[in-house]
Amino acid sequence: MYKWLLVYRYLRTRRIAAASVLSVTLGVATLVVVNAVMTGFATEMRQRIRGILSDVVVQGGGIDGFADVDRHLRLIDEAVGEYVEAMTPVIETFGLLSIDYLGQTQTFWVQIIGVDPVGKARVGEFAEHLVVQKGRVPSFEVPADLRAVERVFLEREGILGDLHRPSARLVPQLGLNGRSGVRTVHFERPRQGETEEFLDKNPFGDSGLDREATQQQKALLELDEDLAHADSMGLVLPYLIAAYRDPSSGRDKIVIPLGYPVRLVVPGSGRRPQPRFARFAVVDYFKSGMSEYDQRNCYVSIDDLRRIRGMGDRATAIQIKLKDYSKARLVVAKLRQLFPPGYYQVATWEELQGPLLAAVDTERRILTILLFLIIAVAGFGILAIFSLIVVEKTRDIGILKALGASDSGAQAIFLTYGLTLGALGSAIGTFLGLQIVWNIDRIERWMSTWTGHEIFDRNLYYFDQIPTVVEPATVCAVAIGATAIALLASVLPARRAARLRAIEAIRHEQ
Amino acid sequence: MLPDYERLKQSDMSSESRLRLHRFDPAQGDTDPSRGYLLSARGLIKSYRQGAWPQRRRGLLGRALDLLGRLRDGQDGIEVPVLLGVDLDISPGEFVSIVGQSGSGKSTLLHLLGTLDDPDAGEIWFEGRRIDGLPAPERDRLRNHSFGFVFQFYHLLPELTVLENTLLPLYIRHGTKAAIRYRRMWRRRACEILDRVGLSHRVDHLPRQLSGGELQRTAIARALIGDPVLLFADEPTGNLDPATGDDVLDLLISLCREQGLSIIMVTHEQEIAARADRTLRLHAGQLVPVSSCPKQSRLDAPSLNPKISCGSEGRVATRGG
Repeated sequence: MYKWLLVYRYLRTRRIAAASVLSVTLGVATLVVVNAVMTGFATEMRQRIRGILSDVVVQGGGIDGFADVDRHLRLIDEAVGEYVEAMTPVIETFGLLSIDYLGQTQTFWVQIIGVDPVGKARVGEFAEHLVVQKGRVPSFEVPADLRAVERVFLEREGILGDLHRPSARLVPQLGLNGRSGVRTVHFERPRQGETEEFLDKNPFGDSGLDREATQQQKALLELDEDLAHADSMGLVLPYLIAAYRDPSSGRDKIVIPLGYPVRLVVPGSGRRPQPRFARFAVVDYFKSGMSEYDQRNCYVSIDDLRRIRGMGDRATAIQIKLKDYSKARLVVAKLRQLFPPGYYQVATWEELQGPLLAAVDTERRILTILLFLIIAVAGFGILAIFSLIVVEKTRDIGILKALGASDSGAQAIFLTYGLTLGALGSAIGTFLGLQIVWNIDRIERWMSTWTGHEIFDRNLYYFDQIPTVVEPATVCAVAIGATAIALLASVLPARRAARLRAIEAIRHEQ
Repeated sequence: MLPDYERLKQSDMSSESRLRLHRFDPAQGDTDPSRGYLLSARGLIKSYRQGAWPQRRRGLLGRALDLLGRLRDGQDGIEVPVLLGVDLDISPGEFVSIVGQSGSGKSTLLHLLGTLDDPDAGEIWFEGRRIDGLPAPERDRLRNHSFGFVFQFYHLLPELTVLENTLLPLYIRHGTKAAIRYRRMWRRRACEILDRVGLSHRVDHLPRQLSGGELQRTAIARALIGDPVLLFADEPTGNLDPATGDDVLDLLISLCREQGLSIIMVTHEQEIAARADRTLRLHAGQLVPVSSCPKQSRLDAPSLNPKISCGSEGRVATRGG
């Protein structure tokens, strides 16, 4: 009883000890805030990557992929069908996207992803990342109104619609731009005669494979004719190509409107990849919030891409969404038996993004350790102040012992004191930290106007808010850890109080 | 006495042999020296080492540090004898005062009797039980249950109110649960005692708001709350003006008369001591009845120890004695 009474009175009268708790409080608050923000970023990032990639991916065969996709799907369904919620074949390849804009041709290096929009929406967050069709069942169909817009751009703006004949207006400009260093891509259709000539002069002879390749090539050439005269297909444009952020207003400005005609060059399938050309109309924008993907990911219909590249029924990957992600390891293990590594690669999205996720985790762990050192420093402050208090209270300890208090009782006073201070500091720190986390956007705005620097650059991350995730377990661990440090710091002074002999303490005058 | 001490010093006997030197005849009841007395002391010997490296560290490292310190200082300190075979018997309900010059070891004797310190040799019996050398928990229990202490400098805890200071022995005796359950009862009891010592109007004040007399009366109230059998008063009036000191003394005497409390009071003031039932003088390390001790003036008082006023232990003795 006297312990609690004395601790209570010491808490009220010893302001300096309260000051030492302040450092614990600040340490805990910082740790809570930093952890919440870093976890928020990591979670947001993981969610986005996972949404783009799906849970488990079976890929193989490079950019040409593997044939007989239906059989693959069936095999997967037989092996791990009970865990699978949805799966869809995709084709991932690279390509060049050219846009004629303000009389110039801009070309971008892009990741071209051919998907079945409905299937893709089922395995991950696809519809959610589309700007226009957000929340709807996505589609690559070019609706009639966009078709009309496209026609306006093609005719009135003089934009090159026909891939194979550069417009008269563009040719001199291209030359001009070449001098000024702007990179352009010229599209030239291989002339019929030249191709035949090339095929005849095949240096590798006429092996069976070559004949097959030749036939494929011929088929592609025929396809070119069809594509040249067919309607353009729908394409989902990377948001960061379509828009830029106006620095003065901070708002995004879309410069490539829906329905705008663009051109795509992709490597054709087969033994000798040839560039394949196709016209597309923008039907939507892809905006996931991960700048890497928003700059590169061009989505088109898998059927269109197969046709353009002459791939038949091939696909480069099958994306699988699981009913329960905790079974991912099991599913991957089973699928690895089915699809031997070497040709195939079976991995969870985490494994595919391993280095990035590991980097974020490492960063967070190191920061946590460093911030805990701050609390440890606070612990030494407590140690010093407690040692002083024990010296100051030598006489009182002696009195208590003379009145029959045991050594452990005297020790308990200071341990309780340390524990109380630590718990108090942790509690206030946790409260403070959580308040900061919950009002972080307001605080950030206020700090930005106050210091004149933008602390959280929204252009950089494309977040509207600072993402935060409060993990109760982490917060508890931080609070308990800080309390333990305070308790540990009071052990030494407490032992000293315990060892104090009543007679020596009482001899102290006054 | 002096030859005895010289012999002791020169022969460098173990404490065992010193004990034998001062052992009483078995016929006098060595096996039960208390013989109906409340408290008995036999042949108490206590000396302090002055300038010695304190040997109280625990553990291997602590002992190594002690050794290093002793090696550095190159000495074991000077042994300063304080008590040289003190015998004392206190009957139940008796008020005994002990006088002596500064440094004569009165406070040391009181600390030994109150189990706050250990004698080098000798025996202390309390209620038919030997209490010197008891293990710490039993000693703590004894002090809490059976003894009351009143010190010259009051020794109240500055953070606690008069009431809380008074209740401290009960808080120490019982756990938190009891303190909460019985708080009303305890408070009533403390108020009764504070009323008895004339402090009922000061119950919720802090020590710094009280006068010296009030502080000492609080200390007496604290000593009484645990229903002690024996009260040790170490210069209870030493820090008070004569009138206040008289009040405090009156209080002690009335406690002794009315409640049958035994009191051992240490003082250096003859007049104060004279009011007790019996007065003993601590002279040259031994207790003698005050009548048999030749009256001496302070100036020519023989000092056992020439260094008594220059060391740390000497300072203590000066204040206490």
